[in-house]
Amino acid sequence: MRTIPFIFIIILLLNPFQGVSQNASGQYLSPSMRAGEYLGSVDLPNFTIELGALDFGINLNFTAGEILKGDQTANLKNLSQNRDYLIIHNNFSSNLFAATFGKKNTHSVFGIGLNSVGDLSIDRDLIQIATVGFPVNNDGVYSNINDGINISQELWSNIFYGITRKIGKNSVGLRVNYNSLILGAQVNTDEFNFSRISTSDTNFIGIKYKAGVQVKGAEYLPQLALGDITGVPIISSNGRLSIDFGFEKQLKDYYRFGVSLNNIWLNRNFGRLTRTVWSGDGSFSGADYVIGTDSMSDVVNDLVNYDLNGFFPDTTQESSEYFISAPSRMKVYFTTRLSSQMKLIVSNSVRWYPNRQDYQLTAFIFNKPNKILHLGYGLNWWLNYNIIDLNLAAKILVAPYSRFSIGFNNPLSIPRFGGGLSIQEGFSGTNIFFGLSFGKYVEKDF
Amino acid sequence: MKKIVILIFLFGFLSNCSNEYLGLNTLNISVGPDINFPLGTIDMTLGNVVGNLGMDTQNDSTGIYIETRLDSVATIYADSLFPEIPVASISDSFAMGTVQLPQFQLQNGMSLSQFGSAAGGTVAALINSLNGTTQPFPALGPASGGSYPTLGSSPVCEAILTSGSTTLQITNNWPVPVSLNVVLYDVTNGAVVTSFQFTNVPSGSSQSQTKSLVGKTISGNLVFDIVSVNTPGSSGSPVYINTSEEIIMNMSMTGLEAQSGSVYFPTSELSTTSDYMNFPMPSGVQLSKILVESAKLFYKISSPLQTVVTTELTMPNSNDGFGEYSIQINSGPLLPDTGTILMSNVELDLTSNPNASYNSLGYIVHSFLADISNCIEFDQSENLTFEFSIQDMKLKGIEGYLGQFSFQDSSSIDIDSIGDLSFDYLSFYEPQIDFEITNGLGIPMFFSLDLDSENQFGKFSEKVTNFPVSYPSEYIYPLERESVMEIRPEASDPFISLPNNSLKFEFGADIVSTFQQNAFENFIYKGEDLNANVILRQKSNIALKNLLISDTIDLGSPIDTSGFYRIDSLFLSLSYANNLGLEFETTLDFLNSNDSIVMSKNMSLMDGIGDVTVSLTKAEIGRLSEVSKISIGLNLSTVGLPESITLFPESSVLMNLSLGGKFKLKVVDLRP
Repeated sequence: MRTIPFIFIIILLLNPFQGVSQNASGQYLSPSMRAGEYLGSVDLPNFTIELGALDFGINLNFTAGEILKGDQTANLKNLSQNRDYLIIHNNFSSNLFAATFGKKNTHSVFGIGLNSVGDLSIDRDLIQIATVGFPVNNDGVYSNINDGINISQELWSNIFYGITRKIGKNSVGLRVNYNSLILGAQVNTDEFNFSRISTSDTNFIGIKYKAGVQVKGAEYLPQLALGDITGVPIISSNGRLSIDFGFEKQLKDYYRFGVSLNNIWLNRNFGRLTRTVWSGDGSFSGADYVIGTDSMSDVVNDLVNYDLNGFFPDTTQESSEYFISAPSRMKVYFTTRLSSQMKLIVSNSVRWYPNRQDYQLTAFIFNKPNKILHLGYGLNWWLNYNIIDLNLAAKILVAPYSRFSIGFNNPLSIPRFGGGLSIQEGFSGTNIFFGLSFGKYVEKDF
Repeated sequence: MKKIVILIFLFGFLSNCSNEYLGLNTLNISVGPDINFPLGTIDMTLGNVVGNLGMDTQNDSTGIYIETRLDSVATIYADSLFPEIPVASISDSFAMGTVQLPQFQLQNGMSLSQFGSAAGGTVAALINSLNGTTQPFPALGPASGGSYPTLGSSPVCEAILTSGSTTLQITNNWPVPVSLNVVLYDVTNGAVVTSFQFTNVPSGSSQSQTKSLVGKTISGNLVFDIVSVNTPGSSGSPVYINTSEEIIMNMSMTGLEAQSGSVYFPTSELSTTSDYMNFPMPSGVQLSKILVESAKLFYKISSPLQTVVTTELTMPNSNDGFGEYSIQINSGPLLPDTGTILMSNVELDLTSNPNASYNSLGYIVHSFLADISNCIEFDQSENLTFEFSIQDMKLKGIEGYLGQFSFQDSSSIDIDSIGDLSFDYLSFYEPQIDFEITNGLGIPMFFSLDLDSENQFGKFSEKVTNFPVSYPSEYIYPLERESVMEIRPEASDPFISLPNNSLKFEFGADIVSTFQQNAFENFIYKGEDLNANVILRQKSNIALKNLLISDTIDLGSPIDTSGFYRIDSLFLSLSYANNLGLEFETTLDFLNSNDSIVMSKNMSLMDGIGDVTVSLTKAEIGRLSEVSKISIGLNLSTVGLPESITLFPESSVLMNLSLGGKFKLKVVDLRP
């Protein structure tokens, strides 16, 4: 029985599916993060204090090889045909300080964290215009309405307090976060509508687009880039509340089913600001020449004097509001006991982005073969893009009451920097997790 | 546990060994999108196009009609229908006859003293001594009394008289009776004309004697020759004697009629003659009026008089624009007796003869002396003659009837092509051929036309007979009457089919100008012609096979393709909706400077809706650098051959042109 997970891991290593980095194992090894992700879980130590639990990852929904290997132009075209978006996602979540405490049936967690989420998505239809062009179909129509390029990168702090309470065989959890947006930048494509019609009665090309950029806390960007946080309102009075909610139900012995809802923003709006907008609205039908009626010189004149300004962006400023992009997400999970030291957690989560939903299936094992070393290992499967990602985490008792946790996704696919940046062809992202926790606790048997 | 860790790292290592490290600096992405842009829309709707072909066109729901107008393809000039006017002439003469002279008086007186002088000698002395005395007058004579010229005006210079007499009255104013013997003596001829014998004419009384002058010749120089005078005296009775007292001789000439000689004509009138000049017209030609543009009026006038004779020729009811036509001719010594007068713009009335309704011109010849203030020599036996003839008449118009006659004409046309167009065949159906006749000739006329068209599909004939041409029945402006003779070939016949189409026209005109058939007289006036315009209205019902229109565009030099390396392919796309009724096969030949074909591209526009694209591959784009000329060939055929189709105004081909291609664009290149 013990060899099964190892065989499983080996198989996954030998079949290096492209992975998406989410260090689910590492998160589970951190009690405060576990309490944040599995809100209904009461599988928590009685008391821990964690310092600097950091989880950083960057995720692609493609691999480096899919771009760099072979005909890169063809690769880009293929990617745009196989994906709805090309996505580069980064995530940084940390509990700078967190305390977990509780008894058998009630646990609380309190702490302060620093979080950053960045997401860049390029609509494949936009890429197709560049790579494939705009060939009309059999009906003579080409229509491309896409979401264009959307980028967000946000840094915010949160002070959180969560409580989990066991009620009979079930348990519920609630966490309240007070979020202060430190820095946020968004590039959004509001509209990108491109059409080309070439039929016997219509000859038309038209484009209408609108995109804007807005930055919150731009005034702090220079000093933050230098690592200077002096005067930066880490905790702002202009914060916004969000809650996390979850519950677990014990189906039968050792089998539990749970649901977690995270980032339920009571108010995403972080205030008014000015947005810079680029927009264009142009169309062209060519010359309309009715033989026998129109003067050819007039037609040529119309062509020569056609006003193309509509195609080019018009830059304006508009009043806007900054809504934080950090997506809400839901996780449905299932846990079971494999042995007294091994626990299997299988979850399916969804993240709601404005233009897409990301689905991830995660399965990992939490293994605590002894008091000193705790392991977590498993895989994430980014269902949207069929990307599978291995993760491995370990928590070591390095000193009395002191544990150091570290975890990796795709640990050997970390880029090389010597002689220029080199990336493994299977690289689809990486993740690193580490943290310190203190406390006299023993993970319960499963 | 060690095993686990070892295994994990071992297999992780192995798995990642299978992955290749790729340098980010190999990133080099160029895209080659297929893009295409609208060049525009070309709408060729026939209703718009045909109006610009430089021809008159008409559209309606049945099709398009292209109207070709051939002006004055046939003209019947009025003067070509004028009959030949034969020479008309007149000749007449009259004798001069005797001249009746007016009565005239000649007189003179012989005083007592003149008598004495004539007697001479003692008688003269005696008489002179008696003058102014009262005493008995002595008997005297007989003695000659002398000669005394006749005083007074005589119309005779020299004449032989056929009738007439002279009366001499003597009035004695002497104081004693006298007896006289008076002789009328012609000094010119030296002959006695006549003599008078008066006996014992008492003092203070008168006596007359009359003598015939028939057969006498007299001149204008006559004298009273008193051959003898005697008186018995006063028989002793004293009388007062005045020697200036005269015996007065008063001679009266009456009823003189001269048969020849030289006299003062009492009047200028010589003769007046009226008659009719008949034009010997061809059979059936009956003219009531002739408008003479010009004609020559020949005359010959013979006069026996040695003076100027004026002959006036008048044509009653005929008009020269200023009034009744009349001419005057002076003839005589030093003047030609023949000549030509140009008649111009004279309207001749040929109806004044009560015995002939047509073709007869009335005239009056009036002769008179231009000057009668001198003696004119004449002889009653000589004649004054005149001859007139009208020749070389050019007409401005005629009225009347021209009779019945016909004339024919024929012509043929071979139509092989239209301009430089090349085609297998081009057939026209349903042509409408109209002869638009504008007629100012006031004569009834009937047209006939045999039109044969022969082409590769056979021979097609159209015939029109006895087409009545409208004409003005009365001479009231405007005269032009219009009528249209229509020819409508069968709709199913390719009446005209090119190439090698011959058209043969046989044209006839029947003129019926007789009084039996016309309530009003007919008329023809110069300038009022018959003109026929041919209007060909060709309906857009055609069958066309392989009409080839080609042109070559000389680019001047090979195409500069230096910037074409970014282009992987090019295409010209055309989306069309073709309900024109024509199908197009287009060939684009790309030629080098030696006119050799570098490459060819074809494009077809069939009936209905479709797309067609002309593409150039990368290699072909490269070969554009050889291209110096582009030859465009357009091959047109109507849909559904060999059946014809009708092109309607709304028939159109709508073409949307797009230019596109695959262009190589560099997006990112991180290569060192």
